[in-house]
Amino acid sequence: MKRVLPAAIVILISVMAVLAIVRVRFSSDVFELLPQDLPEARGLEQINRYFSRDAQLIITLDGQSARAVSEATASLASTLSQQKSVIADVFREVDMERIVAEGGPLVAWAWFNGSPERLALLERRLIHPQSRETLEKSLEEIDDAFDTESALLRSYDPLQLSQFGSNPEGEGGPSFDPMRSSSGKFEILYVEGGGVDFSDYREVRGWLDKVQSLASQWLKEWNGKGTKDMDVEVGYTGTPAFMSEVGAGMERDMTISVLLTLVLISALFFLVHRQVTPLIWLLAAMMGILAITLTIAELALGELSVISVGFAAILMGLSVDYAIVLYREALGNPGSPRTLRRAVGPGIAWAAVTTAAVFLSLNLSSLPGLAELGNLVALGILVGALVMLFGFAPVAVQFAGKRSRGSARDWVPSSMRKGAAGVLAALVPLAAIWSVLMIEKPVIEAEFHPFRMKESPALIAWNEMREKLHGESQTTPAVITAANFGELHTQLQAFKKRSSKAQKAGLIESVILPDSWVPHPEYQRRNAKLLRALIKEGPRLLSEIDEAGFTKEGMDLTREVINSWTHYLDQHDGKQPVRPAGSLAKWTVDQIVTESEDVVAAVVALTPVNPSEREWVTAICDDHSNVASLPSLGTALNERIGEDLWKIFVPMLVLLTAVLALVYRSWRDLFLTLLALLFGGSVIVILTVWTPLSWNSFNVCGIPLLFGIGLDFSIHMLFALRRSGGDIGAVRKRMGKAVAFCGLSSAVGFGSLATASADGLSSLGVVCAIGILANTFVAVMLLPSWYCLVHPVSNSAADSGDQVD
Amino acid sequence: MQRVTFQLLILISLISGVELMADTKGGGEQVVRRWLSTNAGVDVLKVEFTQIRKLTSLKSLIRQHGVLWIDRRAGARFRWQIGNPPRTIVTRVKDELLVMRPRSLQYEKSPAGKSKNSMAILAGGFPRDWEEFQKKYELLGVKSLNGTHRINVQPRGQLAHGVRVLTFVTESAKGILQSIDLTLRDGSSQQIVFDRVVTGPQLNDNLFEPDLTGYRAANFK
Repeated sequence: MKRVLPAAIVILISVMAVLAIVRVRFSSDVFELLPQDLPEARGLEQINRYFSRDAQLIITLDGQSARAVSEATASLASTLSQQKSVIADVFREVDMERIVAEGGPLVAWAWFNGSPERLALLERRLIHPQSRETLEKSLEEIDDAFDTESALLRSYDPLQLSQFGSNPEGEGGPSFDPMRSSSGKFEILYVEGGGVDFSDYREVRGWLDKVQSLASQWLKEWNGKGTKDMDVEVGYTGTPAFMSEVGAGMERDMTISVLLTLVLISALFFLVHRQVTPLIWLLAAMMGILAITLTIAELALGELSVISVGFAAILMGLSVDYAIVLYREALGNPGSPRTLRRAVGPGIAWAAVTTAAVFLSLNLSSLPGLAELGNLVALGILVGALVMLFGFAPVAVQFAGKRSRGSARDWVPSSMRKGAAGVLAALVPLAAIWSVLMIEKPVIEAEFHPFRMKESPALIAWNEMREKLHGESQTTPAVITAANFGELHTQLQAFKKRSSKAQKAGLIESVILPDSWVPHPEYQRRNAKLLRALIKEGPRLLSEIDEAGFTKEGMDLTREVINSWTHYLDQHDGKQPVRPAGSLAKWTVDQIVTESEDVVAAVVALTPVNPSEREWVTAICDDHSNVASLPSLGTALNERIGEDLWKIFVPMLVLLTAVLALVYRSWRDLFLTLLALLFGGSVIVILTVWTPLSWNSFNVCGIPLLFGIGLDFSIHMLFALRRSGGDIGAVRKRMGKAVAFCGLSSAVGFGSLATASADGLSSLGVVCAIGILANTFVAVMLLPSWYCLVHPVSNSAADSGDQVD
Repeated sequence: MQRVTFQLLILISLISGVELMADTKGGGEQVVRRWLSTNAGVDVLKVEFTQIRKLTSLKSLIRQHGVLWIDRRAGARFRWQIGNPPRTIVTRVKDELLVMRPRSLQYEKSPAGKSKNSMAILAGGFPRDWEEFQKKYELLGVKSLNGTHRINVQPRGQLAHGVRVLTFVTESAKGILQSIDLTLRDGSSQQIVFDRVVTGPQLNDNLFEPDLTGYRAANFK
């Protein structure tokens, strides 16, 4: 019975923790993690929200010859189209046949929605007898065409309905987005999915697995046909692919980082203490802290983001420190849980508060994702301190006493000699300053994107697609939003003015505006009457086309346009603008204009002269106009983080110094703590200058974290040195080992993030792990010697040397 | 007796028919090389041709006469015109393609590499060796018919778009090019029949760089 109850408690806590973890919901939306006051962040989020289709997968095909790719694409499209349960539609490049067969509604709508002056010109071309002249002109152009393809296109449009007249400067689209490279050896397919909820990444993953399985089977058969020159390779990209990768990445990150941390910390604890039962209780306590924190987080936040999934490993690495401090103290001074709490409680409490404060200071950062991470860790730290002080303290008292004195090895090295420690205290910071001055390496990586996924097949396929289809073109999309289509036209005109100015100033090379393709309520209202008159001329026009020598195929487009006008006028109520009908028309215009419940949006294509600079962004953007520009976003984030460091770090340092002054009430001990922080920081600086390790807009936010943790270690060590009257040997045996363990466990917690999928989180983990190890070295090896240097009264104890267990 | 003779005649014609339509798959490259060898050493060419277009959207054929010049000295120069007086003139010098409409006094210039149509392939001239041929075309096969070889190819790259098959028709005996047939995916077709071929004619430089005085720039869509 005595053993059953504790075992049951441990199992119950573990089950609760596992349930809490399994219930966690992940958000694969990375854009909400960017500062929303940046036009680039808003632009990227809007492109994703309004124009990327959750259910639209892009399949890329790459082969040795244009014929191979063309035939393979047709075959794959046909195979996938038959899978009606998972695939709603498949789009290939819009070719001439499709334009002729399905272009009628689009052409009709373009006239219906275009300027009335332009429609009037069309009307003049089509009235009798001008219509016959138009037909004669078409026949002449067909006769005179240099190439057969041009002649053919004209022959399908005898009345030249697809000639909308000269475009105003800067107006364009929809130029059918190229889906085939100029060599023909690369082509893409758009696959519209169906049958699942495309907002849930788990369902998307299941759907994607099915589609990939179908495509893999097809590929095996296709490439197995024998001729190597017909082989193709297939890639997958687009929203479903990214969602699936991000979601799976987050699940993997959380699992790996938590498991890795648990395993390594367990191994460390066992190596040091050689006890299993307290280890099990320790693990249960850590899982309990995680479960409580996750439950609170779920209530407060709902979903975890790709960055905040890293909080669990960090939290475990930090909260285990409190358990170790308790355990080490219990080993040296056996007593009751109350006496234990009285001895180390203040230190743990101060450490928890200062660490939580440091993580909470991330709320001052411009990156919402980082703020979320900081809040979760801060919450977890406070929960962890309470759980350890009141939950683990009794365990520590119970089991520390049972540990045999000879069961652990003396694994912490002795402190450095005072002289050497003193010299290092001066040399290392000087070396850091010299390194920064002498080496010309950018302080922060220029184009770093914190939420970019490492090893992302979807991203590789995306970049390949952009390179092969768009080449050197640096077109950047801008999103213009408004409450309705009338206002959208006003916003577009205002954007046109600003971008013209920016062009004249040499900031932008070109701008293509989609004015003609945005539904225009006023134009449609004015055009309705004229269109009714044109529809009445339909039978006459078709008869003239027939007499001129065109076949039924030659009349099809004209017939479709007239029928579509009838359909649009039936739909038109004079208030709401009519959208284009037909799958080709809808698919084409939806790439440029979109309408949701309370917002309408249009996309503009522009080419900045220097994409990574920000002057052009501030020149053209406002509340209704944002740009989806990754290069300038990198610049903006670096600027922001630079500002944040001054905004967060300096005040935090001042505040902490004041708090420490109150805590220590000794300028010498305050000096020692600040020296320890300076030394640890200098080590990191030297490493970032002389090794491949580098700062970026994300991991630079780890600086406050490193200072907070370094502070922790200093506080523990200094309190211990004070209590022992400067007895380095005694401090090394107990607190030194505890701090060393804490440092290693925290480094493990952060270091496990090196395996994270997101670049930002991974680099944060690496820098923090290295920084913590540096802080640990300082606290255990150097700080005691420095203490003896500045507290001469304590030197007699130090000179007696280290005692050996 | 008559019935036997009749049946024999049918059999012979069937055999001939089979021979006429023989697929010289195995000797395809040989046939192509033979044709290409007729181009070797021919730097300047003038071809008078008849162009016949059959479009699925038009009831009647479009038949026109024209002249084509190719000059491969100092880079490929090309001039193609139809009608007399010319209704359309197309020249290519280096990488620039010029299309002129004398009747409407309009012209359009564009980079030759950007043209996405089958005639733009011909503007680069006929290949003179196997490597050049392979760079421009993918050989689909060679068929024999009525004393000719029909070399069926697919143009490589974007130029292939819309083209079902391009066929160079050569004389079986000497391998000389007789016509070029083009079939598009919708079933429309074009045939350029070489009526008269002159090798090494005297050329005027102005032929490839016509005077644009009085012409205005346009965009022929």
